[in-house]
Amino acid sequence: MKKLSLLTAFVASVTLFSSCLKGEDPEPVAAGGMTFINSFIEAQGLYYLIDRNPISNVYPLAYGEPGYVNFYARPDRRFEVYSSYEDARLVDTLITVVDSVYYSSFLFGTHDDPRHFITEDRIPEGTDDPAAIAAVRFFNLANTPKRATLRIGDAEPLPAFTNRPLETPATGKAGEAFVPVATGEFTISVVDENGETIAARPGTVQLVPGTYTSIFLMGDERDESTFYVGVYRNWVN
Amino acid sequence: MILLAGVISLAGCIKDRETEPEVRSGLTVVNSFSEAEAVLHLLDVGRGQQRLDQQGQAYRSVGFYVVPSCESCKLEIISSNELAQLVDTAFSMEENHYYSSFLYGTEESPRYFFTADRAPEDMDDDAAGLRFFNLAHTASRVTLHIADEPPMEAFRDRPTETAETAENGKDFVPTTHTGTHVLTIRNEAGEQLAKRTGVALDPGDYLTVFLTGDGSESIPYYVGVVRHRGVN
Repeated sequence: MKKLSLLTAFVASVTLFSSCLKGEDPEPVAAGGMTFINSFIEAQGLYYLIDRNPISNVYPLAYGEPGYVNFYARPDRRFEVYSSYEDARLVDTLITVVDSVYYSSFLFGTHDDPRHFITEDRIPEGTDDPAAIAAVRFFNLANTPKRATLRIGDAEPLPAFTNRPLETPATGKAGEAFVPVATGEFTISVVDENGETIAARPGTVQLVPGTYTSIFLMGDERDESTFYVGVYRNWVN
Repeated sequence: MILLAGVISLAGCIKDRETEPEVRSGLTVVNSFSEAEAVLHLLDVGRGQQRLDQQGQAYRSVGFYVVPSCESCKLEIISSNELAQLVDTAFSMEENHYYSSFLYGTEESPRYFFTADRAPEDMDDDAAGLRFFNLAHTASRVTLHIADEPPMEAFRDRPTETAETAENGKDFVPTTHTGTHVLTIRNEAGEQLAKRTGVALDPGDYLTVFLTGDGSESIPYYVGVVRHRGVN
């Protein structure tokens, strides 16, 4: 019995590995990367699909957790997102994934008004040395009529990060650029149009050279304890 | 030596398990019986009763089971509330065909119907199939609205189903209005009884939409959606 199985194994391995022995050089795979930010507070989790197939690492993705996946670079890929509540479909769109581009999907809003946008995550134009700067972008993803302003340490808030209403797909996309900021370690908070704090991030955030950070207000005014400052360090290109 | 022993034991296995290929049917089970937390479905395909739902099937839930086909299947449905027998019926299920079971009504008057799920004859590739049942405990005649469109004829002014109306309503209506929809169900006065958002309706989908509940606080009206695994 032992001899028989060894022979079978040998024959099988030769057959299976012969394609490797043919001398093919490995081709680099054309792929893009996507970050998933789940700020959809009305469901415990979200289910993401590409070309109608579940995306395994984010199936589901829990509220408040980030995800990341690489995608083959192809045009017009069907991208769907379902809520864990009643399998409600929140997003059904086509996306084009370009080789070596990093993207972020931001999903927020409510079941009655789900909102979504996808950014391209790029090194700011004209940057001489991407490893030498820190850059930040800011989004208001919270269900609130308040206008949000991002405070980084004691610095005067940047105009781009001042009095931001709840994003729409258009404003989110328009705000996709990272803006260079002072490097260092800072306390981060978000205040409303009256200067009242909506949420403060516990501890500090390191905005060290070479980092490109998305900062976003999450939560829902129906329960003010849910307001939270999310921070995510992005891959950029 | 070992090889010989292997051959003998393998032959023994083959003799014992001369099974007939099992012929199967697909059965979707809808529980719109609001007067119990759950019900138990007991199916007898000719080999004695088997529980379809291991833990019972909760109110408002939809189950799907692959079961042996049978010419004379018997179904008994028992309520979790004092184990009352609600349904005692029989039907046939052909191989590779799909069927749906609908339980609704009250303890005093349980109601039930069973459909063979057929695809409409001329379905375009870009069409979906939709049907609607009123399984709620209501005197209202209700209408299913898809987004803001004029309601489809078949889904207008529907009273709580009877055996006859269910027979008329069992056919899927083709629609090319695919996408992601808000469904609302309104009464004769145009008042909204229930709403459901984010309902995906894609080409090739077959959906049964149903109204359940009685409009009370404890059993509010609710829009149920069944996504059919298959039709014939």
